[in-house]
Amino acid sequence: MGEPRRPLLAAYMGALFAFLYLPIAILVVLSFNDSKLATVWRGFSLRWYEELFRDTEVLLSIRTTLVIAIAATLLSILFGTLLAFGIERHTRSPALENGIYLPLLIPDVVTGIGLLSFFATISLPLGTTTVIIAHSVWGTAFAAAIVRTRLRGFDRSVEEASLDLGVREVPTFLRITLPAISPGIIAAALVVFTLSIDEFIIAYFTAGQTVTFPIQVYSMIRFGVTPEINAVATVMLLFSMALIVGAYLIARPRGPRAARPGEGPA
Amino acid sequence: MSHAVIAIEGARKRFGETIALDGVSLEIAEGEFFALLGPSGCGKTTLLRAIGGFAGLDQGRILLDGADLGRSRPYERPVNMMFQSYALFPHMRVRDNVAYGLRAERLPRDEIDARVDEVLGVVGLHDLADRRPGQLSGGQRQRVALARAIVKRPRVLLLDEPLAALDRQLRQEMQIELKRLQHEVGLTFVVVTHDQEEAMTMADRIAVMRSGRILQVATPRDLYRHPADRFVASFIGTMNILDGVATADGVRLDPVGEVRLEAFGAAPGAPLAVGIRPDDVILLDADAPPPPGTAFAFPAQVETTVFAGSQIHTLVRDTQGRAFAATAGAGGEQRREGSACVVALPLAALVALPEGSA
Ligand SMILES: Nc1ncnc2c1ncn2[C@@H]1O[C@H](COP(=O)(O)OP(=O)(O)OP(=O)(O)O)[C@@H](O)[C@H]1O
Ligand SMILES: [Mg+2]
Repeated sequence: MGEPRRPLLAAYMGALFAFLYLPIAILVVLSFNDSKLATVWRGFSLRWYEELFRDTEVLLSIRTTLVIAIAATLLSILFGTLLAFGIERHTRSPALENGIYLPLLIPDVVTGIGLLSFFATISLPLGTTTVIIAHSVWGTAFAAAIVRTRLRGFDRSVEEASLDLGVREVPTFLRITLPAISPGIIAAALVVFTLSIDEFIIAYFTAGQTVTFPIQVYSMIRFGVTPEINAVATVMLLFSMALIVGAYLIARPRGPRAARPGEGPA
Repeated sequence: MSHAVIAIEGARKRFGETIALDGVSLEIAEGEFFALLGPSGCGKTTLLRAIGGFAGLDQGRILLDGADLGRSRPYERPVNMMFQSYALFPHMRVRDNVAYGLRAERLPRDEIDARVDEVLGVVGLHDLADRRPGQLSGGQRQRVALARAIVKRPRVLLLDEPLAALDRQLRQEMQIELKRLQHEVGLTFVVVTHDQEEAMTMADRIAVMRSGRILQVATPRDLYRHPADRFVASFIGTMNILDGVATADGVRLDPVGEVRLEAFGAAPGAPLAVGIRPDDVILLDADAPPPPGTAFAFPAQVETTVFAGSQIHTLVRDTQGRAFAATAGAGGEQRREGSACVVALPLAALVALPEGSA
């Protein structure tokens, strides 16, 4: 089956991958560099990691960001799921339908400015709360869109069967509907969480004196790239990879012929 | 008729412009296998869902054992439904699907286990109890859906096109199987179908529906022998239909003649069709005299003839171009295509077919 070798194509492929991954590889390597200068290799060391975990400002910003991400995720999946149900089951209005996707299309700068003046108008002091609200705006839209796809593929007669067998509406929702749409909810949660963690623009507008992790990194960079930044980025990289793997493990179908909710008989 | 489990009185329901139920009244007896038969869109599912409590009526009421079901919710009705899509719970094993309705009743654990095992045995699913619906074939899913509904021992089991998703072979097997099962568990079955053969095979009585109305309720035999109108006649089995004119005490077929026939109130001079089943049509040699009891006899020509094992199907055409189907037992004579013959229609087999209200 040997394809003829195509050296040019292979070289192009190599160059492309280098373009995609070399910067990240260099960053990871340099984070272990025992040198104050980011560009000169002086041997392996974990000193930048030690420095990072002693840097209370960085740690505090990570904590703030995690609090914001978790809160925004919870709010988003709660409101997003409810919104998905409403749109999918209780309206036929295309305007409403498309209205839920709009926050995803509006440029972040516009959203940021809008929220800033909104918070000023209702005189809500800027801080963690306002960032949570801001992130929940597009988070809700995201969650609604994802859950809705799931809901659409869901055969409603399965719910009716549950009612028919003697189970009331609320337990039916918990036992039948929720398990069917939960992969959508989990996927939505992971997306919103990941986006919230490294969201910069909207947070910058709405955080006030509060420093989130991306804002912290931004301010560190303004004083020059130190190897500590490399360590920060590496930790961040590991964390997001772990999230992606986790998402895959949760979302992947169980067993070779596992049933998917909504799968009807042939 | 024994005691009516379900009585429907003047049920009406419309969806916007569509009238799905247009004054349906019915009684279904205890232990009966009752079929709702009619073409697509005639309101069968709507009626079934109204009995199950999934959709209210605009007018009329439904009584269960004499008590008005009113607007009660599905979980308040001792009635269970087997859905056309089966609606199995995809994330639960077969056993848990079947036990679901009993757990809702908060029965003791060992009673649930015993009843689930019993029902799994009845439908022959013991070996598959730990599978999930996604790992089952269509026929197996159908049986899980059935088991899940009968395990509750409802007063009435509603089945919406229970066999529609199965292939022909399996469908015929399951018709017999359903009938056997119904005897075994002794429940009242109301089954919706648009397949007349299926209804005839399974049901004790059949209600023929069209455009939201019930045209006739009768046993399969009566429906076949005495269809109430033209639609029922052509919907149930094959029927040769001849257009005639009502006379004072019968029907006239031009130009063949006139007979006395119960005409069910058709005004003299009004159009009145008569029908005859292919197995009642007699074919004679061209010069043979018609046997006694013949209402009409006229010459025709054999167009096609098919030997179908146990029967011979012959299609003839008379001088006016009307086609007749005739079926004879395999012992009969197979006529040559193109040969001349005489068609004789026995009086006893003729049915008058008013146009019908629908
Ligand atoms: N929820 C609904 N909204 C609007 N129209 C409906 C609805 N349900 C049923 N109808 C209409 O009511 C009529 C009767 O529908 P129904 O589902 O009872 O027919 P059916 O006899 O079960 O047909 P089929 O054999 O195709 O299942 C149809 O014209 C259908 O289009
Ligand atoms: Mg239907």
